[in-house]
Amino acid sequence: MTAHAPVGVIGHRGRPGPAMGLGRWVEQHVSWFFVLPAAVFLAAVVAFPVLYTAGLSLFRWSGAATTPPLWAGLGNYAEVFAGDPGFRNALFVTLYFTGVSVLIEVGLGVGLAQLLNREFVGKGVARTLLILPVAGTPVALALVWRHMYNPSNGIFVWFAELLYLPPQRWLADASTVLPSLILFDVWQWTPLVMLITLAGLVSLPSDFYEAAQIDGATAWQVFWRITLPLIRPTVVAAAMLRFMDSVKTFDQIYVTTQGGPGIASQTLNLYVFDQAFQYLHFGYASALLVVLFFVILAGNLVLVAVRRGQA
Amino acid sequence: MKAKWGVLIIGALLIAAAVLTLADVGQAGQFNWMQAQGTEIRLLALRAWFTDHWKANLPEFEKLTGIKVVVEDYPEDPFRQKLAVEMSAKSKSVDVFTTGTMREGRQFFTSGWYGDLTLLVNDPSATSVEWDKGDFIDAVWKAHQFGGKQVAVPVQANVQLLYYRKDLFDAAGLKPPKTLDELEAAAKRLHNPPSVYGFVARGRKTQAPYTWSHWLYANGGSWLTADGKPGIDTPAALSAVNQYVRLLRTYGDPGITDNGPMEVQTHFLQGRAAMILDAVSWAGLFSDPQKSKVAGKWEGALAPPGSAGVTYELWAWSLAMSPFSEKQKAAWLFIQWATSKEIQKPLHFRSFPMPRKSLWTDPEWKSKVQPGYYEAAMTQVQSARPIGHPPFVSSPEITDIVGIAINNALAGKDPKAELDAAAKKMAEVLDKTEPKSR
Amino acid sequence: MTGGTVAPAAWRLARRIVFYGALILVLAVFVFPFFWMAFNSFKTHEKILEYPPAFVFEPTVANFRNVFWQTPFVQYTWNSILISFGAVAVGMLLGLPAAYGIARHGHRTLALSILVCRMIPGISFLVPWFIVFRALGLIDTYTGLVIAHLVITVPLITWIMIGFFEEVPLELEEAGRIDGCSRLGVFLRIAVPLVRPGLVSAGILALIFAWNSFLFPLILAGVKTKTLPVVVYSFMTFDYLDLGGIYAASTLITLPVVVMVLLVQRQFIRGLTIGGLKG
Repeated sequence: MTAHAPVGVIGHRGRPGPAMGLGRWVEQHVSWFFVLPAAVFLAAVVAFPVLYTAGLSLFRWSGAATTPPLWAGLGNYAEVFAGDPGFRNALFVTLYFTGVSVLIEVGLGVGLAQLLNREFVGKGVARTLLILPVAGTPVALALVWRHMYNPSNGIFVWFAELLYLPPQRWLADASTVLPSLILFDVWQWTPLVMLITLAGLVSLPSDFYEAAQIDGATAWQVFWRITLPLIRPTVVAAAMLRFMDSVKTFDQIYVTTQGGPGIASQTLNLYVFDQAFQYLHFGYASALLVVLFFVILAGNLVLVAVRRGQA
Repeated sequence: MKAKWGVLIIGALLIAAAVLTLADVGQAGQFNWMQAQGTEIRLLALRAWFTDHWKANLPEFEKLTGIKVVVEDYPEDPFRQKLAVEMSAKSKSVDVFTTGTMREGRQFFTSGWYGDLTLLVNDPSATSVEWDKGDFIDAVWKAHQFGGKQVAVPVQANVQLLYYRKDLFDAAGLKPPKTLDELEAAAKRLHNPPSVYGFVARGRKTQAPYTWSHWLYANGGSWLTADGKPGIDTPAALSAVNQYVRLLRTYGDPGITDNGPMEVQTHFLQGRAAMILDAVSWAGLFSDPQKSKVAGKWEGALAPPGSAGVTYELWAWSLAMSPFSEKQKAAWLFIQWATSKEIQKPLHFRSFPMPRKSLWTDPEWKSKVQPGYYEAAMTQVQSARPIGHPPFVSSPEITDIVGIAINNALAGKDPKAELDAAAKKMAEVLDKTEPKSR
Repeated sequence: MTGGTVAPAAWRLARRIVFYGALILVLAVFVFPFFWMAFNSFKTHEKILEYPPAFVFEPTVANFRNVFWQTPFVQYTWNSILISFGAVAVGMLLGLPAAYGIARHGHRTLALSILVCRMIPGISFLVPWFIVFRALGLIDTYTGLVIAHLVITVPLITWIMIGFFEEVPLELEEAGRIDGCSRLGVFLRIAVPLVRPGLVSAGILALIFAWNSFLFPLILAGVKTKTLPVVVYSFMTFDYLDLGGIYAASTLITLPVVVMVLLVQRQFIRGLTIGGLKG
């Protein structure tokens, strides 16, 4: 191998040269230069809102121009945890909505990826079409789904009739609103999980499969014992992505139910919205945002642990 | 030759003199619309017919005043959100905005988000005489005063009256209901799902209280009891909820818990509702054969009284000025223009009721609308009490609290339990937000 | 094998049929709402409200005409394009090096911090950003909106690309170093080309999220820079629900991003199947 490496760093015959001291410092820290632009930018843009929100959560303020914010210390937090049934409801709705949707999306997504991970006629078309729900604008899709769910003239009523199923009130009934919203969410985001998982499946070396088939394993065994553990990091990554976004779901619910009927579909995010922009309780809303953030963080840490806890 | 020149010169001078004199005469009695010429103002508005109307007529305004207006309009929820963000940041970027004082009046006033219009309104150099302050319906005008200050100018005068299907009533030999009991009986007669529902009204969390409050007053209830406690867990309020819920659950459509104004309107437009109690401004829409299946088949009637009589309530969107604006003169000129008789007239004639007496008594309008509707609308608007929906600083929050209770009751939960819980929550909120000097 | 009495060829055919049947069903489910959205845009408002839903009717383009009449739609489309592409482009500039740096040198805490930015609920940004942007004169500007959307694109791109960069074999980079390449050179000439499939998918996703964002443009954009998602919601006026307009607007708004994604999708698939990193 001909090489004209700078003598100072590598020296003759590959041994460290005299300039290695400085060189090593640059080597070790050059990675920081890669990361710095993004880090600095995000710090700059995100820092103020974070501090502002955290700070405001310690006050009571109604956006008033005439009265300054009133110091409340941890009062807002006390109220959130001790005395607010609205918060409890919102937390429950959020966890239910997110938990069920993400679970179904991951399950279905992996299944679909497995289904599509083979050669067949129209493969390109199929994969392309499946991206549509992810690419569509949530606000627009929500409007369409809202009408599809209309209990008087939506097309789902017609489908139910065709299949001899009992009529549902879908979004108009507190007991069916969350499943209806979950259905919408699953429809929209399962393809994303599928795509990510597919990318993971495609990059798996094929010799595993060949070996397994020679050994006489059934397709199911191959999937369960070999494929799944191998793509686990990919799947967990997809689950994390979905979890983060699902908890922050706003547009879809805002457009379809605004948290109704009553507060049956009022997730934490929507609850914050009402508190901040309808009731003008900016301080309390800030406290709720801080809590919401920690909920998301906690969930993610759990998933990170799951990801790391495998060989 | 010289004579001819002479004649021409004198002629020109005479003409010039005449023009100048006339112009002068014109100026003497004229209001100076060009006071703030060359400014640019920003209007943050609700997406609605009146906003579209203003937008369409902006070139005329610009010609009149030399002021350029940038209009940004959004549907209700995003509009409130954007306004809240900008006002809480004390932004100078909003000059004029639409507001619903019945709902947020006290809230905004306490937060200092309304510019004071009192001086401007009474100043002849700022307000043209033709604008005619006295032409506004008293109740509506006073509804926009807080702490003795005029904070906004009304753009409409909306009440909720009873719309009913005259064709269905005639076929069944029924007369328009004169009491709430008669209303229920009529609903029972005409309820024929799924083609026709007896009675459809608002049921959604934030919307239900607007219509339900009619039942509250009709049963003798009120938002606050005489000793200042929440009035929504009183027997009167309970009867009101029981009646309302019974009506809707028995004779309403399947989506009652989700009904907002648009759903109620759509049901009636599609001919699927025998009766609705909602905005008087929809008459034009109902009579439009392009959009309505019931054009020519409906009539209006007074919102029926209950066992304790009746109180008519008012809703009005209006225009307010931001106290942070640096172009207040221009802003006020716009508000004046937008609420002037000339601009409001075409809207009124589309049955989008304007808050001006002259428009309501205009014989041309009277001849265009149904007689029953006209009587009902006139009576209700003139005797409406601008009480506030409901009359508190934290009105939006209380509306939601009560709305949730009603919504839950509509879904089948126990009304008494719901109202008791709501009253408790309402007391807490009032305690925290109402000014102590009451 | 299982040694059944059914001829293997028939068995294979049956499985084929089941597979394609399932495939078509799945595709139908995911595509139907788009079909319905576009289909209904050609109906009048009354026709849309009919039940049972009409499948045969006289189509009209009035709804589309209204959309273009009532709003400067082309302007808004241009705004959306400018802002989302801008946010993705700059996002790549910031995010790719960051992902590479994290992949090569750990920086776990930093990686988590960048990811944490994605966890912050969007509402938290609204009031503080409005205050700052207002002070800096960034409201209703393309610059301001691109900056805001970078908070969406940078964490996403970084996070997706870390995994891809980790896959790039170190030997290739060492070879480059020995050949005299600087770190930057190795990054640009060796690592980046190798992660192209990842680049495309990260880019597509970032584009989709930036394009479809609603809350940020609502608060930070104004008349000049309003984007499409905000516009579709405007068809719900206070007085009248124009379903025809809503359907037409929704179709028109979804169309550009769908077309864009479909165009790039081929690259994406090609990248995956070539799989330059396999074996």
